[in-house]
Amino acid sequence: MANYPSHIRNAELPVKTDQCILAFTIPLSQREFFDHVKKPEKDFARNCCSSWSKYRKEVVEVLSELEPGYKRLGVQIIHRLKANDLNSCFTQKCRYMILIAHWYCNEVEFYDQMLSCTEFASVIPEDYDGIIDLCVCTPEPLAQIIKDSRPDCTIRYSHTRASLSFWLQFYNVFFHTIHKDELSPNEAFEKVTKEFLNQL
Amino acid sequence: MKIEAILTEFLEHTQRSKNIDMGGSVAAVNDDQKNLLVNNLIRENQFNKSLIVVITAMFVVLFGVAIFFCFYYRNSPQTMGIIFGGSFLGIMGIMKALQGVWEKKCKMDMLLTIIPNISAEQVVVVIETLLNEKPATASVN
Repeated sequence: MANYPSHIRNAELPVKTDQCILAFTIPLSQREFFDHVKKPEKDFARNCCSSWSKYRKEVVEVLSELEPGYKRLGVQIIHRLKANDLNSCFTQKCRYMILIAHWYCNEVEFYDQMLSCTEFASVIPEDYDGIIDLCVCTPEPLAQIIKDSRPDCTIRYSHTRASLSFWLQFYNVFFHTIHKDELSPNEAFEKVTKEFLNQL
Repeated sequence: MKIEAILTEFLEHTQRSKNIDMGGSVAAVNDDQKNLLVNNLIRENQFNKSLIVVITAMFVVLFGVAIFFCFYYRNSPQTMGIIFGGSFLGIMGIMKALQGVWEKKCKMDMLLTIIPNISAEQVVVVIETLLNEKPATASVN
């Protein structure tokens, strides 16, 4: 790998798809979905999704269609990410971590439990200098805490509500762009965003 | 109006037609919205009933006309062949239309039986399931 000046942040360096992780904390099967609906502490399945049939069509089917493609590119896919397993995502090999999770009352809903912003930030190793892409709806407080406590780490998030089916398609093109063009995440993000906007 | 259009309109009206987001929560559905849907379905069902009567009447008329022409042209086998062929094709078309209306009526009757007896929130589940799923063709566990 080429040597880059130290002031260049990771988001500006090329990333390989096998250095990317796509982690899901949300239910991805009918059994998991109904398990979450029954649990009062779970918010996403109970309050964000009207029905299993809609969720299956918009999320589960789209993911099962795209997942083999992600894997072919070498992207590591994690299903049912639990709060205790979050730490294992921030390894030296992982340069780009995408977290697909639900945001509720200033907490992130993991597969097993909710995690507050400070708890989340404390799990990230202090020397971690990769990129964390929060595909979580409007997680500004979390992003701010991570920025303050882990200055080497780059945080990416959306200011608007994230439609899951859109982002799954977006990341599909994003990974292909990184893989094909050997771009940095910033360049790839810009390029894919332009492509999506052109299609509107 | 098609049954799918009525159901989609209900989801739009209740703001449930949007994609699933990773935050916030879905809008609440109230009994007024549910009752509006029931009234729309009743109105459409009555229209369908009239449509079934009209199509059945057309069926009978076509059959009667075919019999009349058969007797009228009984000495002309070629004309009788044309009459038989024409009435067969006409009846097939009417049967197809009748089948479509009947299917819609069955769905509406089912919805009109279920919807008044469940909560507004459950109505959304039933409608989304009806719009997104197809009937099971194999046994499920």
